Amino acid sequence: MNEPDKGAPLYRLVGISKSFGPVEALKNIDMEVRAGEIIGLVGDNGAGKSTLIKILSGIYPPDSGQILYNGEVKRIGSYRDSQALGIATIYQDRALVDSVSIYRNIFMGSELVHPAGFLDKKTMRKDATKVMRESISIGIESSDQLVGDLSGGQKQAVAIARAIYFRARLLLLDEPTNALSVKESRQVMAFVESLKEEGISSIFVTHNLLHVHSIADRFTILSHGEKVGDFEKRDISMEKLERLIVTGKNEEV
Amino acid sequence: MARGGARGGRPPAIRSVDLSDSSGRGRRLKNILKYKDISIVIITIVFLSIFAMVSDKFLSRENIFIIIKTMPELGIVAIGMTMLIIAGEFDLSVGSTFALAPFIMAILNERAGQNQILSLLACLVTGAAIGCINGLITTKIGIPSFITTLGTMMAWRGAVLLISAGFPQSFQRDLPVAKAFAGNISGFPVQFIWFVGFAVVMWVLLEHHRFGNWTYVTGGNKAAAVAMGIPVDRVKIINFMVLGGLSALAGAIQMFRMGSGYSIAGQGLELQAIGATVIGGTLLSGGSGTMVGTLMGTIIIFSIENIIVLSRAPAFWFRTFIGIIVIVAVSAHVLIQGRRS
Repeated sequence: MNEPDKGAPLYRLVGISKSFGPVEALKNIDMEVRAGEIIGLVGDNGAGKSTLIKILSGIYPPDSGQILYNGEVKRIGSYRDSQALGIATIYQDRALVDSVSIYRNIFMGSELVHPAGFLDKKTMRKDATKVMRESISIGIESSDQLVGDLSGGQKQAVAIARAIYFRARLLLLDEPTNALSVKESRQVMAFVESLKEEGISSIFVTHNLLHVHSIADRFTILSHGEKVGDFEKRDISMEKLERLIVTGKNEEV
Repeated sequence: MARGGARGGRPPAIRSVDLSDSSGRGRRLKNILKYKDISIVIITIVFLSIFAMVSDKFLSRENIFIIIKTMPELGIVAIGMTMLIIAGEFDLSVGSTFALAPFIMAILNERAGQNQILSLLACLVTGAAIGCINGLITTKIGIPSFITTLGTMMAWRGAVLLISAGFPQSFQRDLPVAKAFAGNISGFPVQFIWFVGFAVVMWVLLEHHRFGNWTYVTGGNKAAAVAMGIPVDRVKIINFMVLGGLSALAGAIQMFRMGSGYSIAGQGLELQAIGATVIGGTLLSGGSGTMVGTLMGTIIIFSIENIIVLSRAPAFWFRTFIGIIVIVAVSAHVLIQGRRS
């Protein structure tokens, strides 16, 4: 894998369209993500944000358009394809299993095994503890703890730790702060921000403009399936961002 | 203007974020969990002690022999039921499988003169095939397993009534295949060894194998398991098949023990097996449960039946007691869970 220079986009979406029956969920969307960049993907309900996230995570195939990774055209037809491109989706509550331990969650579906499928619990426990300690200290004492006993913020952290362990380069965060307290939201955002140093990018989908404005480097605004525009943070105020989302029109262009 | 958000003076890059809000919580949970597995063992011992006081014959050698000789028939089904319930489904048709599959074995061996081992294999394959049908209907059509297996429970019971025309079917108890599964090793019932053996194998699968992990997460949160690329339908179908095969074997063991099979064999077995599973702490909602618990649940249910016979109480009390104990056991688990959240 060639290391891309800082400026070149790591991921590029070109002309992505997706329809569900007569409903055009996405129309000809272009988007770029550079290494270590946080993008706020914003728009009103029904703008197509979730559809775009689901295309990147391999849940829906696009009807047309291309996805490029390091300049090469790639196909994302399944979760595995998406994972192979270093994309990890962090869902609010759907990605973890409450009734099993942290380490079983982190390695769910990608278990470390001895021959014949027997779990290598020792290494899994050790690695789980290590990734939790090194990247996020979230007050978790043991990787044997049940995920159901963690707070919302701790659960998010476990999901992100899992992504980091499996060498994710792009985190897709779909409404990550929805069910979190103010304090926890801030901690999760600070954590995502700290990952930029390691070149890990994030696409942050949220309704909460205050949250996204504080950490995003760039915004991509969608409205009714169409792209309203891309804006560097320095070029756009909260007020303007809000106006663009509500009107869905970029009058100044 | 809130430009730049609340973080105008940006702090140095955060390497470590403290999200802890409950330091003692993990340890407390661990204790509860430990308590949970130990508690069912203690409850079992309490029950056995009470029964020993009710009848001095309860702990006699002869009675214990009877218990360990007959308990595996329920226990082997309960083991498979536990796996399936952990995977988030359950199966009401096990009692019908328990009757039908051995019937096919007996007909092949006694009437058609087929080899005894082939006949037993046919019995196991029948059980697994019934499980496979249950699993395919449940996962591919997407209807609740309660409905699927309610239907197949009645359908297969009808089939065995039809085949038998209501008459018992004999099976030679002294065949080697019968001795291998329901004989004695220096006086010790072989079926108990099979029962413990299966329980250990399933325990190893659940605790130490990838398949067990997939079973837990499939039942615990199907959407998450799918998102992580786990073939949840296949996991469920395999568990249905394992339970079907174990139910067929349990039915065969009863036939080996009694020397004949009955079209009404295994009626009510599904509820006893589910009862043993939930008494043992497995959640009907899936994703959680242990083999130790099911082992204890089986001992409790079986001992109740036994003590009612020993104390010469009317046999009708059996179901009443089971019912009460299931409710008490599950209430206890809900209370423990409630304390957790």
